[in-house]
Amino acid sequence: MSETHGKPGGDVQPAEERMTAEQRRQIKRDIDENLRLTYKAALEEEVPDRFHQLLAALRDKDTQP
Amino acid sequence: MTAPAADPRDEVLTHVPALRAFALSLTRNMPDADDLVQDTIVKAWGNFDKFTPGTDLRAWMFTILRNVFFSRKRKTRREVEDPDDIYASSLFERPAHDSRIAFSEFLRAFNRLTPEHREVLVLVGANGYTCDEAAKVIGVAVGTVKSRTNRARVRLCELLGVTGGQDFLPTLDGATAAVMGRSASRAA
Repeated sequence: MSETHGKPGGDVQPAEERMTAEQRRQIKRDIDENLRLTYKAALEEEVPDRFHQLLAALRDKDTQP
Repeated sequence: MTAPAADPRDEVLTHVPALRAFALSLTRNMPDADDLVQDTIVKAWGNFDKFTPGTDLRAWMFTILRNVFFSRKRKTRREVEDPDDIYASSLFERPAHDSRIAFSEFLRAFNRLTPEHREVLVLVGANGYTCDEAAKVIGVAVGTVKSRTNRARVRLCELLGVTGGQDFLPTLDGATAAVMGRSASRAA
């Protein structure tokens, strides 16, 4: 484990452990892509019945005298 | 004469998928996420008189959702976060040459982040909000969103075993780096 975690100023990383610029870009792309994938999977799920029922019940309540 | 504003109640259903996706990123399981969305809808319904017609209904409901989540979390303290543990351990040993991240390991690392970090990454990284829009949803300064997003990415890198995560962020300017340096020891 590196001791530098959480210490942006304390850089004692050996040069051979540093990523290349291309590797860093790849990591950033992967993080963004995985974030979108995670979100998209939930977005594409069908809205469960309970929410249709809930909204209908709320509307009914509104229209009651 | 302008046409009467559309009733925001008619729009709620179209935002349920996004509300569920956002809720899932906070609760990390679907049953709790759906309970949170249900509470959000009920709360929104009783407060539509406070909603400004023509403004972003989804963002307004996101704010309600995250406020319900965080206030409940503060009350129950059910979910015990362990920032020290998160700082102390990587989930993966990754050789420096291996820069590809598999979805399964990403998800495992993402779910180890604090909810504040998951929230900001989902709003900015996945939902596509600008830092300004995310700041309004969360109710913090835009600078806080920027620094919190950067810290969340750095911490994700740590959890993913990505060596050099601190310096992979290209958007860090001097001021942001200084803020991060001052606040690095705090849980964001």
